[in-house]
Amino acid sequence: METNLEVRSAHSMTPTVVVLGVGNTLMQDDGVGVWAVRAFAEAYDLPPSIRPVDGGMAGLRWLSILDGAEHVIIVDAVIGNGVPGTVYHLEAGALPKPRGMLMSAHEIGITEVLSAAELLGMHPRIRIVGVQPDVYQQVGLELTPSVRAALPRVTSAIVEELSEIGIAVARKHRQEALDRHA
Amino acid sequence: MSRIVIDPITRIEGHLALEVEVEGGKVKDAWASGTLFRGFEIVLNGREPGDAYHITQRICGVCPTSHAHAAALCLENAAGIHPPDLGRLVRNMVEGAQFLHSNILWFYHLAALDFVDVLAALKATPKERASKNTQARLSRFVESGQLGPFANAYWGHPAYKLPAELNLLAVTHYLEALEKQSQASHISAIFGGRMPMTMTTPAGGSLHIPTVDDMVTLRSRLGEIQEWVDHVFIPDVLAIAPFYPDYTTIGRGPTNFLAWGVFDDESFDSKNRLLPSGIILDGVLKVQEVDQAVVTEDVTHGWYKDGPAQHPSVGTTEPEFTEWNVEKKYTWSKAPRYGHRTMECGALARMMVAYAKKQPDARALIDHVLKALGAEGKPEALFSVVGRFATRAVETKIVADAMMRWCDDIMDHLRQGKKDTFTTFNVPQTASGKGLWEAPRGALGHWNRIENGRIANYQVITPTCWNMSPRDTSDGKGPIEQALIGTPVVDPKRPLEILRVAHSFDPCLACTVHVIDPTSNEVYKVRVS
Repeated sequence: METNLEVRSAHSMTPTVVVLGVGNTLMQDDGVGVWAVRAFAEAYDLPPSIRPVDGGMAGLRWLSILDGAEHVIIVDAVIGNGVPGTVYHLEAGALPKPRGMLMSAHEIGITEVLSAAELLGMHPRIRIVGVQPDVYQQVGLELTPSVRAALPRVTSAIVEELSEIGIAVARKHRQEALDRHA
Repeated sequence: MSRIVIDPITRIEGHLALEVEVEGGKVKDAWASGTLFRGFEIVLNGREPGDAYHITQRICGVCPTSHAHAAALCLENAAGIHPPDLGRLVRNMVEGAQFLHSNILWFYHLAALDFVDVLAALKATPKERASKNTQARLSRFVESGQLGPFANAYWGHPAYKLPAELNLLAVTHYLEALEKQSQASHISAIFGGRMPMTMTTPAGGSLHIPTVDDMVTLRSRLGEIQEWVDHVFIPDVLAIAPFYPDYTTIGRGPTNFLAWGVFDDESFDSKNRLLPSGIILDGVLKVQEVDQAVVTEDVTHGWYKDGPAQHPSVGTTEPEFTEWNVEKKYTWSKAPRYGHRTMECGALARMMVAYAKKQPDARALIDHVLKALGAEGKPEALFSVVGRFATRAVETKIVADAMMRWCDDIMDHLRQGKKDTFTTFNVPQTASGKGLWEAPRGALGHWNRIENGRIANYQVITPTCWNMSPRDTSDGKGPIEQALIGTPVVDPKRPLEILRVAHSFDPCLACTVHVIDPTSNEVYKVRVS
């Protein structure tokens, strides 16, 4: 199973990048990763090698999304030291260790998926764009104002991560973006 | 840069807390509690009825597709329409892929690890190359100091009984299963547009018209999964089960089973679904048709404002937290009941209903399994932990085989130039509907009430609500509460046996277990997640 992946990545010219928005959009700021990746995909012209993905809370399903990716930029709510809306750039090492012994498939988070990927011989480079949430444990369909206001900074942070990988992306033509919303 | 930890709590969808009283090495009593109020239904009020399709699939990270389809059926029922035949087939394929994904994931990556000692696999002396490779890979993983998905478990617990070679074989298949569940996700994506969220099968049918190319890609992926289920999944269950003969009686449960049914045929009648609707009462395999009108939700032991048990179509959700007190209120779960009865749902329920209805595939496969387990003619041996394993494996085969047939049906439609996948309809101004379907982990019901063209009330009863329900007003215990009673617990500090029973229901919640030992007066709080 790992052979296929390795062959595929060795032959591709531009590195494939998955931009994975993670979280539950029913839980207010918990869903900021999903909203941010959507905003990013709407605002920028993306080559086929960059795949923006609404990952929701899919757990091990993310494995099929990571399949074949050389780089993964995870965008997620992160509890750090900043005020709500603070944007963090993190390395994979900042993730907590796997907790093991799962009670249900609902507990499979990023850490578990990455270690399962490793066990399968997949080794994508992981970068994380984190956003400090305000309210994330109460049901609600919208972001809180401070986190919504941070969305342009989050999309810029994704662009920065891409440029570190060596990929430049340009904003869509303004009119085109407006047409898409019409 | 200061070290920042991504708090995993945001990814855990509430906890299932089990409080268990152990006496003389066995569970004497048990209480199941959902520890987090969700109330997703509240956000739906006042919205467009079609929004429920998009919003409710976010309720659950593991089975978004099933929520999507229950919501679609609910609105179709309110509008009085059905999708065209090709739309039905596409919906069945998308849901089928979800079942393959979920059943494989549940067995290999959650439930089997309670019976397979992963670290003991390192002690095996494998002869075959594949096993040697697995062992080397596992060994590297363990030596690197990170057990990854295998960390913090109860490895070495005396209740693990498999020989080292079988442990190793199961670990090899664990790795293959990671790949298979991923392939099943790809199948969903071919039709569903983008996974994990399904965008293309709302009320009315399918927005995606399948192509011959789709079907060719899909058929080869599906064929691989089908073969793997036949040659690996089912044989693994049958190989592991004989080492745990006591688990054909442990975890019995209420022996009342409920299935809303799943995978429609041309009639759109739930009685005729591939896995048909029906109920079984008191363990007697004589099926009765199901009547959703007698379903109620009881809040006697839930943190909700007291009131009479209500049918979900008129159900209310008024949270009122008091304190944890097993005599009074101890959970955020309501207690769904079927005419006052506690019902188990899930693959065991679906397969027992199908078996009792003499569905030919179910009949043949279950008889085969019973024979292999040395319980020929005794289907009641399946009212157990082993039974939940065996029925999920068998069901996975039935679904994979049916998907192959639906593939052919779709190809027939395309060859005949039939490409109608969607029934257009007007959203009714005033109506109510029900969407009764199955998620892999059990019966899933959505109920809506539409007023002035908007959602006036929406209620969801998930499979976990049935299985993890607390006691009701007549002190009737929930399914898992009943199933836990009598379970042996060798070491209260490492309650592996309790996890086996809880996992066998494939709960939708993370879990903490509190074990109380009245003889020593000790309380062990075991955080499992």
